[in-house]
Amino acid sequence: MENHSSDDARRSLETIGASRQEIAGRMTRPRWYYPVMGVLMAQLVLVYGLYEELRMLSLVLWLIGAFWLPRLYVARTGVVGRFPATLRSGLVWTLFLLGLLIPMGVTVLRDDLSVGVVVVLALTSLISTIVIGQTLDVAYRADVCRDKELP
Amino acid sequence: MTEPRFNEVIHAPNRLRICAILAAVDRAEFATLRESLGVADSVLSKHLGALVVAGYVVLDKPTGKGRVKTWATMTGAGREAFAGHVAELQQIVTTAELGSSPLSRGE
Repeated sequence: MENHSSDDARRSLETIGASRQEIAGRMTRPRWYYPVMGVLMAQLVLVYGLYEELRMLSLVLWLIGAFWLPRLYVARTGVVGRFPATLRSGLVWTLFLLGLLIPMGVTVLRDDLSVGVVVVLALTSLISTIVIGQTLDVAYRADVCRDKELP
Repeated sequence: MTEPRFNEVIHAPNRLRICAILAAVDRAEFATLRESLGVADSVLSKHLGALVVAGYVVLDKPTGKGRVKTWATMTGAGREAFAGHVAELQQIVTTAELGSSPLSRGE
């Protein structure tokens, strides 16, 4: 077999790292991505808790957003990620889901909530989606940049 | 544990970059790979073709509305081969570093 020098091997490993850095950079979600997702979640919580007659419209709006946002992202980046690939990103992903589900779950399960509590839950949903979503994005790209081969 | 194994198919620079990207994601679109590598369509097609023949990559052209896009996905065999290749590269570098350390020279 051909003998490969350590310099050649080192260059190859650097090439792998650079390629992953480049693709991870492309996978950055646009600034509006999580705020839009957060608004969709917040309006769902708000409408479910306060305006019973608008629930169907709110749900349809949410479904349209939930369907199109990820597709728009994939069309824009040309990449579908493998996620979560590490324990850290798995934990952030779980936290993100909890941030989405808990405010909605409380609103659905409790029908005696005051206007103030519903507004707080909607705001919690909005903020957690934006903040944890951006953390999730960082974890997502860190998974792609990992030095070692993905499992 | 991945067994270190040098892979001539993967080691070619452009194919190494393709594999580095595909191993880190679920799938990537042809145009994204082309832009990332900075090569012409024909060059990328040639290298992807070699990886497909080796059984390391599969290409998919989902039909639907609009322009048909080609998506590349790394197979299980491809991931295994790439992991083995990376492990071999790391072993070469580690061995060389140990060989040049003062301790290994008995200083």
